[in-house]
Amino acid sequence: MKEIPWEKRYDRKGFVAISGMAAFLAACGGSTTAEEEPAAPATTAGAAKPEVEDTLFYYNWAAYVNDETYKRFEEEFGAKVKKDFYASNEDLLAKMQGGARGYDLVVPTGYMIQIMADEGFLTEIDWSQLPNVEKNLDSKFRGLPYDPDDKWSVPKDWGTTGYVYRTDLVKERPTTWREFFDLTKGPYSGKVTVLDGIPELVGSTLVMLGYSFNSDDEGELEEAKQELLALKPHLLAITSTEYKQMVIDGKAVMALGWNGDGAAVAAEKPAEYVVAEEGGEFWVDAYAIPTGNEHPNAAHAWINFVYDPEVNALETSYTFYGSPLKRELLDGVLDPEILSNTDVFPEPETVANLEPNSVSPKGTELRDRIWTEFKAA
Amino acid sequence: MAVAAPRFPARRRGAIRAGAGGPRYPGWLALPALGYYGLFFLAPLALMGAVALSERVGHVDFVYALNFENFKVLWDPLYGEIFLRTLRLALFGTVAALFVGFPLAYYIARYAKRKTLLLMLVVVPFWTSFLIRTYSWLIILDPDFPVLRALKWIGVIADDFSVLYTPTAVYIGVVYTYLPLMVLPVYAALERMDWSLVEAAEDLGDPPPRAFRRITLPLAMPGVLAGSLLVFIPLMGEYLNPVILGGDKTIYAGNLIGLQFGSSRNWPFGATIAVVLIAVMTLAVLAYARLARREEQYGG
Amino acid sequence: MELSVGLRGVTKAFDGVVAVDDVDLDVRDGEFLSLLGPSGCGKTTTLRLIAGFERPDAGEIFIGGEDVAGLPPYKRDVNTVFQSYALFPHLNVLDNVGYGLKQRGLRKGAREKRARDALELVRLVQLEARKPKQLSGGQQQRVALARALVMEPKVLLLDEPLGALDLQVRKQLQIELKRIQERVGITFVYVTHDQEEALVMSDRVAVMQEGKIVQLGSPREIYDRPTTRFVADFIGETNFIRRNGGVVAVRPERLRILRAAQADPGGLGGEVVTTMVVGPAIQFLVKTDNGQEVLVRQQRSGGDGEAESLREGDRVALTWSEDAALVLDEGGDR
Repeated sequence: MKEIPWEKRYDRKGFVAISGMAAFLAACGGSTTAEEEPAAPATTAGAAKPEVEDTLFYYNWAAYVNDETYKRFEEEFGAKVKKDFYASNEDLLAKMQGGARGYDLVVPTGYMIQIMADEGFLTEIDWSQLPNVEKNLDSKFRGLPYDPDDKWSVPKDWGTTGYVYRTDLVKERPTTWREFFDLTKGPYSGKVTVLDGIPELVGSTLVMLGYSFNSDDEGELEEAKQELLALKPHLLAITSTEYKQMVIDGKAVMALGWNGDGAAVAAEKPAEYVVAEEGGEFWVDAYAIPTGNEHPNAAHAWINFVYDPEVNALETSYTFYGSPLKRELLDGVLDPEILSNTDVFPEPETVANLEPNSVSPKGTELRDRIWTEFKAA
Repeated sequence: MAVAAPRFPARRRGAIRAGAGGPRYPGWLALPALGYYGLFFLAPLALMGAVALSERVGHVDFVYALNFENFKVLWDPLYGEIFLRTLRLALFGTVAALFVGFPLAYYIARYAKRKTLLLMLVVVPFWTSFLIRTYSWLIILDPDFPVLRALKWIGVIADDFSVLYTPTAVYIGVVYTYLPLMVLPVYAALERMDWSLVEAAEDLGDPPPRAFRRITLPLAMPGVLAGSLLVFIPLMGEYLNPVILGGDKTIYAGNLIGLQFGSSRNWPFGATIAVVLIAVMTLAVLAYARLARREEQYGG
Repeated sequence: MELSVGLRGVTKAFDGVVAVDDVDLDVRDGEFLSLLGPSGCGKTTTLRLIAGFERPDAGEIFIGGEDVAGLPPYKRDVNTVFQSYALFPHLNVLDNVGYGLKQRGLRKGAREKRARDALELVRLVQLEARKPKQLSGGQQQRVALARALVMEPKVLLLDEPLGALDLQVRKQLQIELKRIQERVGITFVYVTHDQEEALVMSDRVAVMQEGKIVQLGSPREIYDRPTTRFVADFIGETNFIRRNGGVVAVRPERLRILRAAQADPGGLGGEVVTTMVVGPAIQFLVKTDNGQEVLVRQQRSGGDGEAESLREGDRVALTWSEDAALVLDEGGDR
């Protein structure tokens, strides 16, 4: 199953273990925890803003928002933020499918936005309430394939899928997927992990072979499958949550993973995060407003609020995933070290080579089959 | 010496016919339990069956139908292999639990002075979360953790011995997890045992192993069967141990079902697998019932 | 004379408590010997030592002349009939009886034949297909006996086998056991706390007390000539009479009771408290002049005996012959 992309957030304070636990607990039963924030004293809202309700019910990945941001929002709008958490896109979908209503704001990953929109679980975004977004959103992030008319979503942050390796434990300096595969099958057999995610793994393999990340061509997928089956026996584990710690501990010397985790490893041990030359996935997590919401104005207010460069800097310095705001706006508000960290903000050329996840149902079915065979091998 | 059958006065004959043999409790006392059972067990089962027959629509949805496609899909050797692997795990786990659990139960039943304490030691871990117990094995089996370090230092195992994230770790975890379920029924059977029977067998010429085989084992068999069933059934649906201790590298029936209800979003197929799995478990229970009935003749 | 079982200085203690204390015993070939005593006297432990279920802390045990010290029960040529019968519940009667024959390498047909022969001996052939729980207590006991006998051991050990049975059944089985033993000729070592039973069945009786054998002899010897107060008290009924600064043990039936007027002086004087007719005998409870209560018993002789005319309140004198009395010292022991 596509596990825990929320874990992509870079965690400096070492919440890994708890996160891992929460992830597995969720894997066993989709448990969610709810918290209540104390109500902040109401302050006068700006005259130009529409009537923001007194509550915002925010259904999100855990530990994905700076506490400071909550505080400031509540002060500014006098609205209380109620929180609930999910641990995977699938959990979110299952909740919606199960008839959950009352959530005002959710943050699915791109491909899930498309699915939820198709299934009628989302309401349209009212762009008139989002002047900050209009002004500050980098054009690169408009009209993304999963939401070509920007009808359903507004980007929250973005990242890449590549691999991280310990420069002190690995002699070579790989830069391609092919090297990743060869090194895993060769000298580092038994010390490499991969993500527990179908799109990431299959897609990255397709890209290695020169095909599209989102291919649904049977022949191409068959080739990818063969590569994966050859890789399987050499893997240490398949995990989206444990690999960061495993590479830090040295149990694994290389791991297929996300840039935020890669940056986290590099901060603790000699390591390098690689976006492969052949390409890979570039993903976006985005705000969306589900059907059954009760406080749409508060939801829009939040989105608009976090597009203020200062607030956005708060967020980025907490999650360490890329901000979708125009780069120049972040100068001066965001810590220059973070701003210049190419793991957090990959170079445009790098990104140009990447594709977002957007697999057709046919492709999904074929991938499911490959995944089952891969796991069964 | 024959005794004349007692003659009942005519007016009580009806009562005897209706409920002879014991106190009669009103049938409706069973209703709450039956209701609960029906609502939370039978109904969901029926629902599962209905979903197994439904058809997939779009990305996530499905519509109720009379569709047997999924059962045909299941016939694929890939899934057959997963089933067999699961069956192997379940059988191995059951046998291993028996091999570890029987001697333990035997010792507690026959020789131990502090029976209650020992039984507590077996049962109390069971009260801890399944998850936490399995996670603790990750720590125990960690090459950097004292246990393996000590063994390596002594020389019992090789320096590069690593069992984490291998099928072996899964098997260890599985036996540990289900051990209490085996120990308790076996203990119960052995506890009731008349040990003078073993003495009698030895008196009649059986050395201890033979006496065990001919006397102890047959008489403990009801406990062995019950324990085996209690271990086998959950093992067929095992999910967590392969994920946590096996590095999520191997897929068993439980994982396969989870996959369908998760990222694959193919609920009908998931339900189909579940239905087949339940059918297999039902067969196991029926076999047990048959064997257990034969055991009744042994009495004792 | 052949010795079936020999014990030399056998001692066994459990948790510091001595159960069998330096015991010597010779059991003659073909005899029916009882180990008799109250509970805790060590008789069962002695039996288990012979069987091999316990190892002695000291001493030697011989069976058929062989030192069996290191041998476990399944290597000793003895078999036990247990107090609880210990029949195997999952086997029927025939298989129970034939159980020990399996490892002798006999084929099934031969085994079954022998088992049936043993069942015939205990007169239970018609029940061979039954399961133990379908049998009465007495029947179960007989199966246990057959199971042991079929092995043709040198010695048969029986641990209070009739304890759990009704009086009627017990008496019947006592006779049968004796009959079987005589017919088969195997040495029986029989443990019981019922002195009547021991006296009825045994060739010799070993009376045990606190881990020691205090007297060994034929039933008549034990009864007529007890050597210690304990034996006198334990076996049958005994009066302990204080006389002339000492204590004398006399059985009720060895006392002669006469009207005081007609008796020689020198007898023990007293007054009849109660009279009781008990079957073929008549009993008197006499309160002596020196304050003791003495029980006297005599066979009735058809109505015209001297004793039978005695009534409550009559003055009487009690006498006894020398050899009928056991003289005990101040402490009451010999």
